[in-house]
Amino acid sequence: MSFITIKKETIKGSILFLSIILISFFSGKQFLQMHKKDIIIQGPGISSKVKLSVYFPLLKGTPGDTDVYVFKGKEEGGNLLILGGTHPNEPAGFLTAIILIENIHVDKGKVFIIPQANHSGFTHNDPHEGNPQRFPIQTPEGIRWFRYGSRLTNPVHQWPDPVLYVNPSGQKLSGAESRNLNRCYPGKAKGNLTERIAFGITNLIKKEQIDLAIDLHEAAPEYPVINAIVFHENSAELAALVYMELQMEGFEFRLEASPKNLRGLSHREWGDTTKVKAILLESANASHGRLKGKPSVALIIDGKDKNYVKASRIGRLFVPFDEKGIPLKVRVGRHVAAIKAFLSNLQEVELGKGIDITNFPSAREIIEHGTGIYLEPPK
Amino acid sequence: MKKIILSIFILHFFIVSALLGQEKKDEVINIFEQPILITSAGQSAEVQIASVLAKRAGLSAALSKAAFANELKGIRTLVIVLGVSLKGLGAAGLDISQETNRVQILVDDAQRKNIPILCLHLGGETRRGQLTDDLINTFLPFSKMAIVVESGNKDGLFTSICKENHIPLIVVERAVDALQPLKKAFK
Amino acid sequence: MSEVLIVIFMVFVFALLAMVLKLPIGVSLAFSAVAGAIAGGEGIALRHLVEGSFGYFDTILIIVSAMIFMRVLLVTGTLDTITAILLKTFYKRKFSLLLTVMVLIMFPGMITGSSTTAVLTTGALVAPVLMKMGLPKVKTAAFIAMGGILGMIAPPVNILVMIMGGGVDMPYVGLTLPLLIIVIPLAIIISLWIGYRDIKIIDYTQMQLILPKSYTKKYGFALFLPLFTVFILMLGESLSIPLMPKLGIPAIFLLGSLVGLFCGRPFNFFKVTQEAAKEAMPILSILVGVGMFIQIMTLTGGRGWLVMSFLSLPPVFLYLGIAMSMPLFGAVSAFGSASILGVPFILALINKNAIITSSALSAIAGLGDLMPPTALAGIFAAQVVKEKNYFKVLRYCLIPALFELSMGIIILLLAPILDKFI
Repeated sequence: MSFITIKKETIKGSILFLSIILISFFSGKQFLQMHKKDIIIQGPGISSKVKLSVYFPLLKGTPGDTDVYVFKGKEEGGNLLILGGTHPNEPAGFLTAIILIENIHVDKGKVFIIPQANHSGFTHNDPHEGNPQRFPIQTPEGIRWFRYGSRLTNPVHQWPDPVLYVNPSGQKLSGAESRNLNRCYPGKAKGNLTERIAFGITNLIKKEQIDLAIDLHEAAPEYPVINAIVFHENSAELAALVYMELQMEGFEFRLEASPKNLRGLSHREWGDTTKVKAILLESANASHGRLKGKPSVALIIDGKDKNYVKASRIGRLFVPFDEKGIPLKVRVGRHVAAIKAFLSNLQEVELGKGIDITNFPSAREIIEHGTGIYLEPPK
Repeated sequence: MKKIILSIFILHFFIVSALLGQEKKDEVINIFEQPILITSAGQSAEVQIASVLAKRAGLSAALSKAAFANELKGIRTLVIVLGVSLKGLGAAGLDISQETNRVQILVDDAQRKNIPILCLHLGGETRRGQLTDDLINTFLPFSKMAIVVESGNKDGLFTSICKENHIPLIVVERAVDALQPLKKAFK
Repeated sequence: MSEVLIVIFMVFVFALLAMVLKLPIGVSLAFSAVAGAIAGGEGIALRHLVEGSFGYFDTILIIVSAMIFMRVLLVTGTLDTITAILLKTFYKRKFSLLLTVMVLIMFPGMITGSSTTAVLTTGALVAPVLMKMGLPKVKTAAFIAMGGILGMIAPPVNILVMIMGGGVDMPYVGLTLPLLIIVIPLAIIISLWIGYRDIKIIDYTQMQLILPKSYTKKYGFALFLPLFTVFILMLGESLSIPLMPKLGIPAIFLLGSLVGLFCGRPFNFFKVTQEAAKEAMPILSILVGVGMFIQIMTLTGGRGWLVMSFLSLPPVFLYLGIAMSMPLFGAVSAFGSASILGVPFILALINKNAIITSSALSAIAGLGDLMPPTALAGIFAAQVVKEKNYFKVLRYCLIPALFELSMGIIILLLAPILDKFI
């Protein structure tokens, strides 16, 4: 009798063990897909590509090290930093950075673009969100795929989360926020991986004497700070000028001052710890909202969602949302238009700090024809 | 047939001119004096836009987002930019009731000192909502004139309050269009 | 299939497997998730199933390590010793016994923001005392479960508020007073409600009869070292004292357990860990199952539909919606409820002070830890008193939970008045 019981248990155990091996193998293969890097093609205007670890050597060889694309103009002028992919589930920021990398020529001043600020966040997805791992962009000569990652650093790279996270600026946050790059500024040299990334970025701003830094984001349509320009008080006038220029071009934005008591965010800490004019841009992304319907590639790209249409109708949103949705091309177009407006007004508030860029993508064309027209064909 | 079309056209021209004339009646010239104190009610960042507009209009204006009554010294016009922003309130370290109290004291003091008030609402539709509406209802009636962006007046809230209180209301399409009426409103 | 039908289908499959075929809850949840994925046209969606189950990875580690720690306290003799000390101190003081015990249970929750930690540590320590003093075992479990939840809400660390604050840009500042206003009356009312009638004042001889063996003479202060290790490291985590290592809760419990090897009665560490893991297995499988279930529900659009349904309730029913949906959604987890529903509800109540609304909503969301099938507070409290059917425990939590719910709603309604005093 006992022989049979043991045998039964052994069989049960073996089946369980085997299925765990199989599940791990097949799902593991899929998870590893997220570690395959996105292809970003170096445009003709690039002067050099360096690693963030150049500015903070402790990052070297870590999953937090990321590419910095540098564009140097012939003439001296202002220095600009553009950050995409702080939150890898906000694709408009990431894609805007890539479009700029693959197109612009800088004639005056210097431009630094980091398309994947939190590189580790691109290597996984948020549990319980059911998001796709990648999304396609149609270029005239074929489809290019890009990763849709997580808001946070991969726990495989930084774990465990503390019970309570006190960020480098002393703000208390829930433990998981220790993996949110935009809560870790100005960073910490001996901190966790995310704090070290933040430290590297702050170092870059200081070392390269960046005059204007723009952090590209997206927010859920139910979040009050949306379609917004968030500015540090040192760039209030610039932001107001940009707001008006954008309005004249037909883009409605919301102007928001960076709260002084909300610490660890780029628009607050960059401005407080360096001389940079710190700006954060938000567009409305239905695919990372709480009310989203079925998550899909279409939701990321077309931005149509019936739940959000309903939410808009009952006044729960902070952005107009109808059946047409808010497609990725519109979100990227808005980012591109805003960056351009900042460049054209920078000279006005900071004499001699002008940055001239040729081949700057047209926001209107992106909105009309899609982001693909400004992307190189797939390799 | 041609005559009919022509007469309709002429009639249309008259109606349009009459309507435009109506609009012009609302234009207010030289009713305010300088220097100006620009402050916010609700700490939305449109106060910055108002400041840039005033600068562009060549007006002598001081910006104090969370101004107190003592700052009214020597001021001839108080400009209040309406619009609540939670981020902005956070930035100023205020909550909505503190903000309402602050503006109330300022308005009371301005009234006592016979300093006229000009109200602006530049954020359009996105800068409305319960909190902002409460401020509009409270403070707009004290103003001598108001300039608002059209999309923020879709439901006619500004029109009705201004009508009731005989306040000249200028509706502009975009915040940037407020420049001309602002310029004209000052001596 | 529309998202509504998929949700109904998933619930149906779950009920069929769990109730008719009597499969374990965790397994039933996992299979109903697979069924939902197939019905939603996603195939087996292996990646999503695994990803969903990993949503509770940290929680699972906390539970396993806390269970090991609890067993270590038992086998080393620490548990008996503490029971003896508490009994000797409180055997003739009913009121102060109940209140002290409540505070003791709440304490680990207050510094970790987790009800599980509270239930499985000090909850387990005081359970024998309450039972020996006459409180029936299911009521003892209810007492501990409610204590755990109150500890989770009480300051200084309330993760639920932090999660909600993160969604609306509200810094975690100035919350101590509003949270205390909610928690203190509840802690008093609930401990008296559950315990006052049954706890009996006994005389010295009666006390001597029920007194368990104290090991302090044999092992001295060392007996308490595992507990001290855990509390000091936890305090270090939550107060973020410089130079204190940030180990995370699971490592803290494991360290505490290892310290136990050298303090008190000797035991076989591997056997203890095995037993603890075995004991924890059913709830761990439920967590894995719920993780899969919620991921597939999101994947097929069911979560969005559910959240929208609650949010689109007409304004008069908004408070009713909050009262119903936030604890219900806690079936996923109280933290999930705070993030998915708490944030939109704060935004819906935006004309009130967010510090007060988030405090009140955290009290309501915290009740999610009583909601089956996860019901972390209820399940572990039942386990602590060795009660197999945790639903019996939940029955006694019902009225206290209603107290807490009403408190939350009252605070929400009174927010404009409280705003003036805080």
